[in-house]
Amino acid sequence: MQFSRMIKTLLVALSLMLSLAVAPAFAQQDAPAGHEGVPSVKGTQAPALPGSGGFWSAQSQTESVPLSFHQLRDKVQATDPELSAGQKHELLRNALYEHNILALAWGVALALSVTIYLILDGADLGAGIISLFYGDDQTRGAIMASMAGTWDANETWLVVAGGILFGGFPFIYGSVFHYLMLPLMVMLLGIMLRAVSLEFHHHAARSQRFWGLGFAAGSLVVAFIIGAAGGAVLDGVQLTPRDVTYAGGGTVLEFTGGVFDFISPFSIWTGIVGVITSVFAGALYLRARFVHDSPVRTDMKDWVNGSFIALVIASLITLAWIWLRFPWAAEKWTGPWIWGWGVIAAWILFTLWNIWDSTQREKDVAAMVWYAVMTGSSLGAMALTVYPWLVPGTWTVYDAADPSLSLVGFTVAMGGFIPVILIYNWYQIWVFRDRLSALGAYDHH
Amino acid sequence: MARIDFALITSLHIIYPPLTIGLSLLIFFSEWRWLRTDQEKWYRLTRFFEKLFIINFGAGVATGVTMEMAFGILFGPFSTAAGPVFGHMLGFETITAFMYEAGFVGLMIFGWHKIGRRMHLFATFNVALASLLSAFWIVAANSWMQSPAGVKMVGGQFLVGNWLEIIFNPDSMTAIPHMIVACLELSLFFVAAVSAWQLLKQRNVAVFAPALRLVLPVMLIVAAGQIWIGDSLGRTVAHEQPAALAAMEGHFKTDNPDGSPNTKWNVVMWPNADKSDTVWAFGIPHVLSVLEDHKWVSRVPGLDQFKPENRPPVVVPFYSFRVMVAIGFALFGVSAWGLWLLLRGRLANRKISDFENRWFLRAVLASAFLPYLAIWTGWWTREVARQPWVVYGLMTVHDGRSQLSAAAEVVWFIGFAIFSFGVLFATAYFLFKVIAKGPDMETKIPRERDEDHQSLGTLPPIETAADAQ
Repeated sequence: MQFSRMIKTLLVALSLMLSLAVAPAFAQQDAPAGHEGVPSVKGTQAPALPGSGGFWSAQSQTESVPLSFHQLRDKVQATDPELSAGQKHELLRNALYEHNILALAWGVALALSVTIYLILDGADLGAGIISLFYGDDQTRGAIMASMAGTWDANETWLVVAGGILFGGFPFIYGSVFHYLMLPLMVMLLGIMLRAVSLEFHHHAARSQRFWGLGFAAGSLVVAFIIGAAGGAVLDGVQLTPRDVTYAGGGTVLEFTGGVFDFISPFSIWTGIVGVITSVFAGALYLRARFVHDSPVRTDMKDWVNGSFIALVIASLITLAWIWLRFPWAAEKWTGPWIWGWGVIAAWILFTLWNIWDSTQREKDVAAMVWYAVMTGSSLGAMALTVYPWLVPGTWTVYDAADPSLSLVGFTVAMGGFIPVILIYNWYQIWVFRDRLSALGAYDHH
Repeated sequence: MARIDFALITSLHIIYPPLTIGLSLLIFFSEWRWLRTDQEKWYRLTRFFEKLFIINFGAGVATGVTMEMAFGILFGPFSTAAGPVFGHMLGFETITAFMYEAGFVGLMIFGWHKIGRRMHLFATFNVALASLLSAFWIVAANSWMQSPAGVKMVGGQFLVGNWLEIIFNPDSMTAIPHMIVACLELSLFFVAAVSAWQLLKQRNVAVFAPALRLVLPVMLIVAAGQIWIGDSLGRTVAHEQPAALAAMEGHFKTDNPDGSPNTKWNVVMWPNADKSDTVWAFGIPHVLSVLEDHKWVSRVPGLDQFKPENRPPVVVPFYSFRVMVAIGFALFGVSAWGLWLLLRGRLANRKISDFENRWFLRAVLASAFLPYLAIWTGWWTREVARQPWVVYGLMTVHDGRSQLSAAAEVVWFIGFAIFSFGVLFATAYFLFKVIAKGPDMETKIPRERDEDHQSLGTLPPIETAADAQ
């Protein structure tokens, strides 16, 4: 049975992604914000901190940054006369250790939900972009019908990522979203257009063409913006400190730049890469979704081959660009772990070869699974490159995290519900697994 | 401007979720009846209202995602400060309710004939449960902004002190039931109005007359309960947010000139420019004390107890509060009328077929729009009366909003206004279209062990497309 194999492969892929993402936890000692280290700097200046004599020293740290977790604990503990210096040290060490582990766990959860979103919805977006090239409403309707049962569950991973970011990393939510205002706004309009187009397309009679086009155009816009926003985040963001009086008072970092600051040649390029990747994923998806002799599936053969080559070329260009543009990436790749990066690169090449091999041997589902593994591995590798930063040069995972993270909150959210969500996501894909037996727009549910 | 932007986004979002929440419960009930009794009418009702449900659901998701993002973009400092508390609650909502719901909605809508009947009922149950959970988290988060409890304030952030105090804050204990009952009330009136419309057109009387007869007694209980819960919420607000209550009641002077407590309850009034007194007013003595304290004479703090810069706007809370309360009683009246007709047997299928009680059906139809208006005015009351605070007493809206350029705000506003109204228009259009078409009375009813994995929906065969050319 093709599908039981698919389950196995997917499980292997997921555990692989997980281990890739968790690996940094063991390499924590040399991280700038490790529990033995000094608090890292927020802001875009170089990580040299004036007067950083260890986080439990009584002297206050730089005043231009918000009171970070380290400084907070510092103040709390320094004012308690009952404790000896050694006890304070021990308490803080434990508290900080717990905080860092939790922050990292939330960071992994964030990376995981973004990855799952990109894998699942990437195919839907790509299929939408491809439907731009089918002028007849029948085919476009069939493409839309193929994802009718699953698209909203796929899209909710994006909302989950948003929720994790808001609650777990409020500093990023409050400042970086402001920087990304324009792309996020356009993306939202695109997502809304897609959502309502899918819902309304089959209720409409005369306006079917309009909703079909809305769906296709919305998909294109969303794919481009996700890529561009990713590039813009890699570019980093300039934040300025501002003193506030509410909630105990302190200094917060704010974005004060312009609406168009996110635009750079690099972010435009990553937007284009986003579209290319989505088209490839969409073509793979459509090949797996339609019956063997349908015209759509036949057409998709050329699409798959073409977009695969485009994707490989685009990835190489992106890689070279990152290498030249971001010293932190080049340093890490050529650092002491160079052999590790070599292994990762070899693994990604291996997955690429498997995708190509599966497509040429008409193994549609296997190709999709290998694509998911490839995407997961590439994103995981990128996350490792950026680590310990969440937003390069601005926020590390540890500093961006909510200072009052608690194990209870994490366990409730992640331990209980994520597995349940994964199970019913799977059940849903299973229920709607069949290839579309015919072409045409569905008229009712 | 950020406030207007956000008001627009929230006002156009709140239209959809209440119907989603209430209707999912009613659909679950109807499907459960179908499984128990195996009567066709329950199946047809389930499928029909499910179609309306999904149109509404899509619009709710689209506008809801916008809202979540809008916090970060329009209210960046608020998001940073309150993220550990407020953001976490929205995150909990996303994971425990939103994802959960979206996962099962697909099965519920497209799963017919593919999964067993019991499995389908389970899917519907989960959709209803998840939407209730969702309402719980969202209103709890909003209530925390009204009565912020259980937090430590350090370094410009609200940090979690005690989750139980945060979630079960004083306001949420009454606000959550108020909202959930409002959702149910809205959905009951929605179902009643759709049924009444079909009955006025004399269509499918055998399906819709029983539906109407069933919802009428429930409507009466719910409408009465809502008035009672609303009263409790009013007293919670009086206790937690005296300034908000004073604005809602247009209560300016705590004491009369002679020193006795001012217990006058204004029916209508207009405030002066600096919100220190009314320009004109018509009020009844003692009613205010009775309403807020359930006592004949008691001292209710007026707006003169607050610094002028901390006084909320008065006109919007005052009048929207009155509209909401009036609607609450009007809905109670319509339900009581219906129950009276029902008890006298005047809503039997035969009577309806004879065009009796058309005025009652028209009244039900007309009152379908009232719960929407009540929810709108209720939220306006709640949000405007909290001004100038975004977190009551702790953080002002001015501190919480992002420093956006005027141009950016205008672009945002126009973009979303066009889009949101487009979604609203399209949703309404398709809702009316499906209602006008009526339930599908022909298609096959699913039987146990009859699942079919061959096709998705009803796709015309490929030959038809080729033959047509």
